Amino acid sequence: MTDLLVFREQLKKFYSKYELYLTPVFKFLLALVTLVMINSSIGYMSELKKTTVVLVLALMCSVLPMNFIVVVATAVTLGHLYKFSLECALVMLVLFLLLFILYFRFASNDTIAVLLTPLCFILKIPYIIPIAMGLVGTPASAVSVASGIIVYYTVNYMIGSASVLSTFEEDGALEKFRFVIDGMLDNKTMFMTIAAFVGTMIVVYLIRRLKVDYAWTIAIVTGALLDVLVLLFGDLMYNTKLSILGLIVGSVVSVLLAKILEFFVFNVDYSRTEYVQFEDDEYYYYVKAVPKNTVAVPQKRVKTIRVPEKAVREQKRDR
Amino acid sequence: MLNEERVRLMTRMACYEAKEGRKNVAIGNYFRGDYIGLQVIKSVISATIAYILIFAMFILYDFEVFMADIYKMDLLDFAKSVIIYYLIFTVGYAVISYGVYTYRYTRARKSLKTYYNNLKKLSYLYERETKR
Repeated sequence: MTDLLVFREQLKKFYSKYELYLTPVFKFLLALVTLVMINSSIGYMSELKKTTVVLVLALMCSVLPMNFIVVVATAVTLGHLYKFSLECALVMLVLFLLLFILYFRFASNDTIAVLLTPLCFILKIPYIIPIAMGLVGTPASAVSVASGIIVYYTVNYMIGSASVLSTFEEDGALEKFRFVIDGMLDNKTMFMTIAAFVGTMIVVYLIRRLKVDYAWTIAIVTGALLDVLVLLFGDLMYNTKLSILGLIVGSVVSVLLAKILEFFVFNVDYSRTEYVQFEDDEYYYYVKAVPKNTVAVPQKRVKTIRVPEKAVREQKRDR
Repeated sequence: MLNEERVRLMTRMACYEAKEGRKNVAIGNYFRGDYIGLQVIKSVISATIAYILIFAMFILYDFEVFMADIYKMDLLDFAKSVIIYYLIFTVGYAVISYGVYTYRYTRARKSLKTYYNNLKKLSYLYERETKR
């Protein structure tokens, strides 16, 4: 345990030292992973799949604000869908607009939640999302998580029904359009997942704010159990074809991941070196404020023990 | 001469202004009613856009039926129901955003309290300096 704590301290120190460079790197990686995931799951437009295009977009994301990643991901998704089917792209465009209106009104600094929700679905660990967002977010994050779920399920449905869509006649645009909308509104799994995730998130948030011992652990376990219960209940009610084994294994993995997250986030202040500028009547101040490290990290010290030469000489003489 | 105490205070305040304080300071410039009113108006506008989008999709979905029925149906009645749904939708959205933004305003004010105290302290330090 001590080793872990020391590791955390070192991580903190490292982050506060190189924060200026690490943040763009993280943004770049997040954008890159998002784009690669989108391309691998719905890569219909070959121009967008070129390595140079992906890299340039990711590089742009690394220096621009976080929400730019969401905009780029949206644009790329729409591009692929346009190549796939014009009707799907139109439905998706309207859906994105509606979600953006909601998202930017209520939860505009929740980029991570919006991006990670579909990513975690693709990686088969979606159950971590409500728990993690309940732990580190606010109830407004529910909007972002729900948006992520809607986008994932809708795109998934469109791609899944590619063979059905291709059977429609050339001039059957309206039928195609109707088919997509029907499928979207009839997607019980999606609505069940939204209900389960939003409920879990709010419960986790409420419990972790309680003033009791182990509030975070209680919140994680209760959240995971509630999530499993609601999803199983939904499966019974609407026959959502849920993989029960996947649900249980996924939830256990999510609890473990949430515990790791708790260790790195709970009670840790990743305060960093600040560069601020201000002025008064006489001076301009360019201040670099470095946070003090309160917990000492043991440093390796090499100590050479030497016998003084004089003593060695005296010893030789005595012999 | 540099006044170390003042520099320290100013640095701390500049840090706050640059990080979590940035939004709060912007909110703090408004009166309560002005801020919430502005946000509710923005919400009403976005709700209107959202409603138009949903309505367009609704028409497009049943386009053929709609076109066939357009001469048969009572357009006044149709318009009335469209407006009633619009009002329900927009008012609901506005009420939710009223709640959310009232909460945000109160929270920002609370967070700004220390900042304003520091401002007072700073002006006191200035006064003391000029007296000397």
